[in-house]
Amino acid sequence: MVDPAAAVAPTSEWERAVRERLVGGDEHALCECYDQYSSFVYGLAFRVIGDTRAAEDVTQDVFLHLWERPEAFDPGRGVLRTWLGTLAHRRAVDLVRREEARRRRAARDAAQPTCTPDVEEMAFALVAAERVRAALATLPAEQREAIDLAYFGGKTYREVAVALGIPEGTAKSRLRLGLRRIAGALEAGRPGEGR
Amino acid sequence: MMDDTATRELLGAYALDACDDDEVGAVEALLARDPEARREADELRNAAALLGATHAVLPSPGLRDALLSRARRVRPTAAGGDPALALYEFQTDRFEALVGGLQAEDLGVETYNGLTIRELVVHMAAMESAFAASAGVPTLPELTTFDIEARTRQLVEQMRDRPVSEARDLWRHSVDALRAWAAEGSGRLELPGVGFSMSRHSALAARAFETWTHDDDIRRALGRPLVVPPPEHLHVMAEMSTRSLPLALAFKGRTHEGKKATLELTGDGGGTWTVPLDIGVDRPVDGADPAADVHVRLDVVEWCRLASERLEPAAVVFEASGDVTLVEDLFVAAPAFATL
Repeated sequence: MVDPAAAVAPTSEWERAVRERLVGGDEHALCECYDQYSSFVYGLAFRVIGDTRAAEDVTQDVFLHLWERPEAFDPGRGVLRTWLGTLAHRRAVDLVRREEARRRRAARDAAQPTCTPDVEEMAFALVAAERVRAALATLPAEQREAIDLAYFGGKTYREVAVALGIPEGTAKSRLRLGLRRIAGALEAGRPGEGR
Repeated sequence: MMDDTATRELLGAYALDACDDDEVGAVEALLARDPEARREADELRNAAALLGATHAVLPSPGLRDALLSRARRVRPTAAGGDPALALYEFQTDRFEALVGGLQAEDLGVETYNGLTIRELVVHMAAMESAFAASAGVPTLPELTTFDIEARTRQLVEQMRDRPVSEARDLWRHSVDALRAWAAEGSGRLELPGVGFSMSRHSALAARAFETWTHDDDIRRALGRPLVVPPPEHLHVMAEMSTRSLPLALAFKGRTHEGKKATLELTGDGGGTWTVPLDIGVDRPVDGADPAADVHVRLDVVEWCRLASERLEPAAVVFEASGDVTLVEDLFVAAPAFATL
């Protein structure tokens, strides 16, 4: 059994300090956060929305939100990555759920951006990507499919249920069980052996 | 109205932003009163954010400036605390003063890495100008290679018959360009010879670290006492070298999957960090961890000299408990980025 509290990575002194500096209006603190996490936030928004302009808007909004309300980030509850990612995903999903944004998806394949992430984010992302993929690979296909539709497809669990032709209760539990397995596998550090 | 069990069933969908608005309200009410549910939600959110990390892509360079100008409009910025720039300014000013006081007979003395003192000053001009060019403020455009040794050789040849003060001025010109770039609070450095980019903070700290190292080299070659940076500066450099350890271990092929080490760097400017011995989803964190596989304790200055390749791993004085066989790999990896 994985201890849920331990699975939330501890917040670093840097995160606490940078939050203080943001509260104090230090622009360099905003730059440091942007440099560290913009590839993550933008990449996530782009993956969900499929449109570079809209993904950039979401990225700006996320970092502006951090700048305007740094107190809203509570280091006691989790790392800054999760906080920013949660914000980015919510906004991206809000956009996608509007019909206008859906149409932008057609342009997805036409405008794949190519850039190199910075060294820390790149190393992290590569390894995280590999482990998350490995963790995903150990999931039963029906859980994997449900998570993919919800997280990257921006669908609600009800829409997931319709898309997969399953009861809503089943969709809910597939999302929860699948996500718990991923969390467990990542926490164990060895994908596939969690739980 | 849902009961708590039904609401808990929604936690996965909630973490994936796949609930309806009224359900979000019900989940958040549950999280406010049930710490257990809240822990699960935090855990699932974290896993969801990691799903998102599988698609990191840098946005276009213009976005950063657009964000900053919007940020300045919505909230005034405060000047002040910029530890990396302060460190860089301090070390470069000190190096300039040292070089300014050199005598003609000092210039041919050989330093730690085989360069004469004169060549070392030229090497610094080659390095600083490479970083300035990477920051978009080229100062020596005639130098086209970014291979550090080749670039140094080329400039040494070019400066062969020139007074050392000219090499110092070339170096200082690049320092000023980098300082002006940094003072604008702007972006990242793309390092052409290395194939990756660095944040402003890392770049300034790395340059300050090398400046201190070569400052020491000159003092060592001339038999003068070495000078230790102020504690707040040591701390920035110690932290940078500690946090890059997972990458350094990977670079040197010395990773240990699933293991971690607590490094306790003693003395003014020191600190304690716990570092995974592999690049993975865990990142270095502040403080000691009783579950770390090994706990290593050493002087912060010794650590910095090890990280800058001025102290052999075998010569480091340290105390360790736990799996002490890991210490050698830590010490071998520490200087992996010494040439940056």
